[in-house]
Amino acid sequence: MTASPLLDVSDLHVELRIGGGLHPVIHKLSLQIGAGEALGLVGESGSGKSMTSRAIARLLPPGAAVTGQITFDGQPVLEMSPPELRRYRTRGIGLIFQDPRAHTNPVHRIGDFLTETLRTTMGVSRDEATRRAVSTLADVGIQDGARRLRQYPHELSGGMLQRVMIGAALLAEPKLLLADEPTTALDVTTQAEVMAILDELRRERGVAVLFITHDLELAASVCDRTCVMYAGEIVEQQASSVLNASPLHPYTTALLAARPRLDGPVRQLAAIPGRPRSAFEVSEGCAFADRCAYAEQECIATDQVLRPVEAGLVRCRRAEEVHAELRAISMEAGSVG
Amino acid sequence: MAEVVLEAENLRKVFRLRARSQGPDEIVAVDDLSFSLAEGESLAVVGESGSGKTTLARMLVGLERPTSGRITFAGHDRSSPARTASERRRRGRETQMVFQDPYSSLDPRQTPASSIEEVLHLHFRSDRATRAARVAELAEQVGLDGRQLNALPRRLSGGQRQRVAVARALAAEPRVLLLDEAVASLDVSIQAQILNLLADIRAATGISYVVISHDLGVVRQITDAAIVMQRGVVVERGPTADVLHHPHHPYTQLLRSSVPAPGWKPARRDRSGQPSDAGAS
Repeated sequence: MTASPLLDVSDLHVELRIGGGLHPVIHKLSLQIGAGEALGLVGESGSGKSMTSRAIARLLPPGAAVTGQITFDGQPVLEMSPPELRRYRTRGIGLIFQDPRAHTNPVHRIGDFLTETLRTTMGVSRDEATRRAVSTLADVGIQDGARRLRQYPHELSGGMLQRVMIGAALLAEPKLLLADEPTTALDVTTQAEVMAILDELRRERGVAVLFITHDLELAASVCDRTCVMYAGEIVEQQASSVLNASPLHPYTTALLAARPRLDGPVRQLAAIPGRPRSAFEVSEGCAFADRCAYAEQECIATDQVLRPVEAGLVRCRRAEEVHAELRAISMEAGSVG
Repeated sequence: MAEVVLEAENLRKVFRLRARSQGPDEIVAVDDLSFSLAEGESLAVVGESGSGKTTLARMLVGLERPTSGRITFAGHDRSSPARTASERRRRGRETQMVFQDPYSSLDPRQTPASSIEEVLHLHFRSDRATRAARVAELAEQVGLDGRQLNALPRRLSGGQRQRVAVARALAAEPRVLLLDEAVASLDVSIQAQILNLLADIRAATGISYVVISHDLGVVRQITDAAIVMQRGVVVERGPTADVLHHPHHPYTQLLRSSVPAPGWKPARRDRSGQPSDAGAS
């Protein structure tokens, strides 16, 4: 990469205050997103993927201890003053959440919700704000925008409301969208449509996207690169197309194998034993070691570093061996079948 | 030919809405729905929100009364509500349900051991020792250890809670288990464990499943036959493999093409419901 990235997160470490003590939720996380790039962040519950996006937006719960650097467009996010932060949250980043109903005010009309930022933070007139809102709604596939602006959230379906959320996030023309499981609460056919809209907007407007999901294949469909998170760490980063076809980390491999497939039931799904760990439950050594089929004594004893393997980054000391072994198995299966 | 355990004939459910100035005054949630479920068979009911699949489930377990049509269980009519407590209990034994959300379907102040034992106490005449042995056996079957059996639900993970819900449902020794999006809220790695567990239990006991799900991968993995519902109506039915691999109805085709898979690209639809090729450039 020649130019410096739009978003540069380095050595991010987040601890939350739970009960009396501090619990680590993100451990030494680094990632970069270039202008107009889509990066997928995939993980199971408790992996720290949502906390990463909240840290980037500086929306962590009170009492959270954050170290490391977050640089957006050359500016240090963690040192921003309140006015700078306000500007960053409108012109810099846009946020889309999983449940649009929980993030809209039920007693405010869609129009107020959409135009509030423009009028209060950016000083746009009411008429101009309304005009822009209608045109943005058209961009996200809502044609009768003028009528929708007069409606309340309960009058819209979930998919429609999520489009309004995307529209609201885009209105201030941010450079980066943080989309946290934006389609998880939607039906599959609606999901396909919302994903298509996100993808189209990214291509047409050059908005960068951090797309957070638990679905590797969904991430691959719109993201250039994907990071896989486990227990507050990135365990693998790869071009999305490569990740699904030939994952390097045993966790990614296991995750892909555990998913029931459409092309036929298998006699027994390759379930991963145990349950996903959170960052605070892991002391030292590889966080995945206790569930990993390839773990050795050495994996449990030493911390793993994220290191370059082939074209990606992997946090596993045995990545090459495991990868070669799996490739041999699949080639054998291929030659037999 | 295995015996038919559960049969629905021309089921219809209409919800009346309060009088309004505009819009319809009733909603047909399920219309003219029929199916039969054989002993040991697993049937998928596939559909999106508003398709009527949960209303169907509620009618099957007696939480909702059909407006018309018949539900028969092993030859006994079930369309009208149970008149007596013992009849209600008998029906409860025959069909059990596992809900989507393991966080809200368990009593937060009751340990799994006690909640499973309660079911045994309700349905079977047995002494304390027999019940304790049966609780241990069920825990073993679903993979819960002693600590988990005696912990409060908030101390358990989502997957463990769903195991408790399955154990509790199995405690009544039902012939039909109704799984309403039972694995939808679980992480992929845990979901695989529960799907394997459900497959093992069916193979070992010959129980029948009605699997309500929007997830076609899940449906492919644990069902033999499928019906696809759209707005209360069955639009397609057949063996699961045929329905998913050679869908005939446009709605099934749309569902099928909306599932992310390697090489999948999301496509915008126009208003007719057909995928458009606006993405091609």
